[in-house]
Amino acid sequence: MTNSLKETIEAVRKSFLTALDSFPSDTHEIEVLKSSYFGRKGELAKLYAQMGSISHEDRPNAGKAINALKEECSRLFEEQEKKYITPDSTQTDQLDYTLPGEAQRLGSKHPISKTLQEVKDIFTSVGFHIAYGPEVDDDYHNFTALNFPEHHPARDMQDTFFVQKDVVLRTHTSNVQIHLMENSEPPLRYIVPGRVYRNEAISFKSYCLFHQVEALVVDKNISFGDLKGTLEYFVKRVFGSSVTMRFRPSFFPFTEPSAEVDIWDEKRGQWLEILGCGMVDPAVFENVGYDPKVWHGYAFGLGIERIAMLKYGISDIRLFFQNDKRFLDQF
Amino acid sequence: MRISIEWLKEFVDVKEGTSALADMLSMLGFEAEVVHDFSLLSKIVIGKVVTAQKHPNADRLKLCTVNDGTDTLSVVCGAPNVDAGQTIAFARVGAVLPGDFVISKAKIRGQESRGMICSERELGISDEHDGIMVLPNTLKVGRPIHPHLDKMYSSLEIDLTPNRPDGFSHYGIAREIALKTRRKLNDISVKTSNAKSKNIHKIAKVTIDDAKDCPRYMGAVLNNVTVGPSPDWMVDRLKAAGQRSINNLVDISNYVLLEMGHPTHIFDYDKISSNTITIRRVKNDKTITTLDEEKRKLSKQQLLITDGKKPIALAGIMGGLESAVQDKTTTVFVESAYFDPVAIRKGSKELGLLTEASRRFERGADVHAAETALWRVINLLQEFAGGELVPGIIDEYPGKFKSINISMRRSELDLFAGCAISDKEVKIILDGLEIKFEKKKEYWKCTPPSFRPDLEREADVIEEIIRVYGYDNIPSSTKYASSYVVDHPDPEQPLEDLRNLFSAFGYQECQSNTLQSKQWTTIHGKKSIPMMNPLTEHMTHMRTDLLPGLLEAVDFNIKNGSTDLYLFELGNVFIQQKKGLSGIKEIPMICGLVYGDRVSLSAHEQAKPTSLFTIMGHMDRLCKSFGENAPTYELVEAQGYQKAFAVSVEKEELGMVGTIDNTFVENLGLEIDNTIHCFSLEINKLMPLLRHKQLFAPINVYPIVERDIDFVFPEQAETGVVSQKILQQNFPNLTEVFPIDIFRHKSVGDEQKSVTFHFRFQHPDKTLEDKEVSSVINKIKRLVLSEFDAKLRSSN
Repeated sequence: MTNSLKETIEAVRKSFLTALDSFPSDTHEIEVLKSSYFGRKGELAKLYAQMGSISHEDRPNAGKAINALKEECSRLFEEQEKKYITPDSTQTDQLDYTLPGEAQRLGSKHPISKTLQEVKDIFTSVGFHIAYGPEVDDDYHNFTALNFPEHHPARDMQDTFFVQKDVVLRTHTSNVQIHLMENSEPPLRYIVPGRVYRNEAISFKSYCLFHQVEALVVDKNISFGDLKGTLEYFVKRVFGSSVTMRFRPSFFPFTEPSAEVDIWDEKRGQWLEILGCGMVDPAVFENVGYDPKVWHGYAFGLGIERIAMLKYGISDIRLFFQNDKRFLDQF
Repeated sequence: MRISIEWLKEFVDVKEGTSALADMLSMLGFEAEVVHDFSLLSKIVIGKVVTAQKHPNADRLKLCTVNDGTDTLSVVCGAPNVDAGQTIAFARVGAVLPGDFVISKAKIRGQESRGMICSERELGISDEHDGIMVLPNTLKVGRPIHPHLDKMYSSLEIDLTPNRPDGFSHYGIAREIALKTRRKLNDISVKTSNAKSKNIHKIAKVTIDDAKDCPRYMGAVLNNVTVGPSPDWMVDRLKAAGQRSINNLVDISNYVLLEMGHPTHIFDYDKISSNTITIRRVKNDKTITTLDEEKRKLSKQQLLITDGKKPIALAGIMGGLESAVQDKTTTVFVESAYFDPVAIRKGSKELGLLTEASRRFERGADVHAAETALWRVINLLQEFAGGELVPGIIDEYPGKFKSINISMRRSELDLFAGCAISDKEVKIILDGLEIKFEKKKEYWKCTPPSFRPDLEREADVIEEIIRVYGYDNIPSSTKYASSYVVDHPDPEQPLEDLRNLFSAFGYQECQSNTLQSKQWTTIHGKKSIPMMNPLTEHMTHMRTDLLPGLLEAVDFNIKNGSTDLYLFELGNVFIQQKKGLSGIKEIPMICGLVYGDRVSLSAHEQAKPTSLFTIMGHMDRLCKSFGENAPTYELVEAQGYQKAFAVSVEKEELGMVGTIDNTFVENLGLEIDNTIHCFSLEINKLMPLLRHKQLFAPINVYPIVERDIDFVFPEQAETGVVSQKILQQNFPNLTEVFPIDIFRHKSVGDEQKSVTFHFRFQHPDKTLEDKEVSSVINKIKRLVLSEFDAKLRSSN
């Protein structure tokens, strides 16, 4: 090892010891001192940088000497540091494990999105496609083509927002049924999620909009039994296999026979309606140019809010649209 | 519609309890709920008023003694109709009335009162509260009241679907019960008279302008009618069905309506000046004052009953006040007609007047029932109002009912049901539905009755068979899965990825109302879509931007104690780009904002506020997670922003990030005290990025070499531009460049900053040698010094 290197090492050692004698008390200055010796451009780093310029045989010894210096300096520095810095809890033996963990930010998906995703997953797992369509549509696609005659009390079943005389905010996603059938040939197997609107007074049980999933299956030889089987599978997947359900006759202009599905609420001791369904009315097929002698099908529609309310025990539909952090935090 | 169980029993044997009956009807498609639960009144007994005298200290109160079967108790009663000898419903001390009202011992104006004599309202039967309920004297004192109430007033509330006009009556519901239980359905008995003389035609004439509007109009005249109270049984049945008794004439018409579902109307004959009734549309008529004393404006939509000149009733909707029966009425004209459903619906819609009559006509009444209903009203008027029929009836019937034939194929029935329903079963059901049929080899030739206008096609009859057979009896198929192969079943799957990403960044997903005020939706100068019939003045237009909804959420949450918020929403905005439906654009967007602290104060660290770089960091990460480089930001002018930047990837603009201007928040009428940074991206622009197919890239296992260089720049120098410039040179093995420290000090110089850039080098196939890196570092130094107004910061 060259003498000059030895001297340099010794010089660094001395200057370090001197610096320690006047060890600063300010945290920042301690950091500055630390980096001037141990930092990327500190004195020790400079020593190591000189290694490149010394001969091959001298290198091992030089390395050892610098390492020894580094070890000594580090030890002395830490001793001093401990004296001057109030140790934080992680560096003492007196670690306060009762401190809370570091707060973590965690976002959340809206319960409607979560429920909708669950519904989508169930149906895609049994071979359904998913389609989407317009929220603003003409009267024809929302009503007339779905066999709601213009002057029929069936139109009162859904309070409608009108944009123009023949343009409405869709009252159900069934309008997409018509678009689908107009644009494609059977067989079809789709669910259609989306926002729908009803011009009803806002209360704990109804809001001016909600999210619906409507399904349409068109094929040869489709029976009411197929509809029942599909929905029983769905309801059990959502509410558990022990759920009690019933198909109750009802009326929708675009299905015949039509039914509503109720599930039994043990807690309240009553049936709760969860969805509407039925066999596609032949008039709907005629309206889109499908031959009702050849094609049959079923359709059903369910409200995502309704399912989410039952799943999570939410009793006021308005909570979904208030965006209250105390609500959103729970999902 | 409310159905009295007692009334039903006139037509069909009802063995079921009320709730079992409700279930049965629900399962037939008539959603039914039990109205009363009289068993809750079990503590209330039948009592007798022994004495009733004026209260010594109060003019309007009476001091009574009541025998409750065991004791005689003194009771103070405020009802004017209380009298000695009455049988009454007596609530003893301790009894609980609907609304959890507990009867306790009281002293009223110095007199002891030990119980209460109940009114109908207190028992939950009706709204009647002017007097106490007087019970038949045949009831035994001391017994509980509820068996009597059950028998008389048990009822069901039925939510009728619009396709079943035939279900709009007690008889119609009885028919369904008979059909399901296979019990006998009793007829409505009417006595028709077939007198030879037809004097009616001398005193009354009916003309119909348009047979389409009014296919049938029947009428009769009765003399010597006496207006008075209705018989008790009729009052009770009306009450059980939720109707108040008015007088015998009005009640009879209402009774027949509720009994068989056919609306009739009784005019005061003497008020029909010309003795001629004309059914026509509005011509020059301006107004009519209806029975409810409302003056109503008429339009061409309305179908009128006129006395030849002026309107005397709105056909099928409501009678006129002028021609209505009064206490002094002695001669009446009874109308029983069939009006066109569409004509009635249009008229009722336009007036905003929905009545028991219009509800039935618009769904389609029974043209044959018009005759039965007329005779039923005549019979009741004869019996309970002393009416004498002027011989003969009027029957103008220009629009004869044509029955239709429907073939119901066995194959189609089996296909729909998914199981075989036997011929025998089908026969029983068709018979019960009163559908006439002939059984052919492959099908049934069916003729539905006139009271079922909803049965027009094969599918309608099949539905009936399956409905009555019972949905529960149809076996569920187990073949609910499909073998169709679906590559990308959900075109919006990428949006779910987006939701996952932003919730991982710490954002909470919101759902806001699409409907907002005009001011909110036009605040950016966009053309928004108005509602013709808005629900409230704050919900008149469709949103054109997701940001206001999110800002409203911030305002709401601040008021409820939140100090920091990360929110996002994914949804459509709506813009009227051109006229008409095709000019309405539905644009899917994702918008998000950050407010308050990114890191909140804790024992472990200081609070750190959010900044525009929080948003930019999320944008960078978003692009990176979908396999793209970080986006570029270009300063743009945008309304509502203090500072806004267009965000682009590969020259394609995705949307904007920025810091919101406070006046924008104020203009929305919101109060937010702190800075908000936000982003707003168009989904359609993002989609190619989101659909990017991620492929695995081999991992480089060779060591990374890191170097720093300190440059001194003038204050206005942009570090991103420097990094970009360096990267554009494609220096060998340089993989990353980014600033890690910015230092301002007088030693650096005024208006100068020292920026430490960090460089990472890595070779794909070998360990890099120092000199390879050093040579690039030198090139970088030269590049920066020559391209920018920069100096190297001397390392001391």
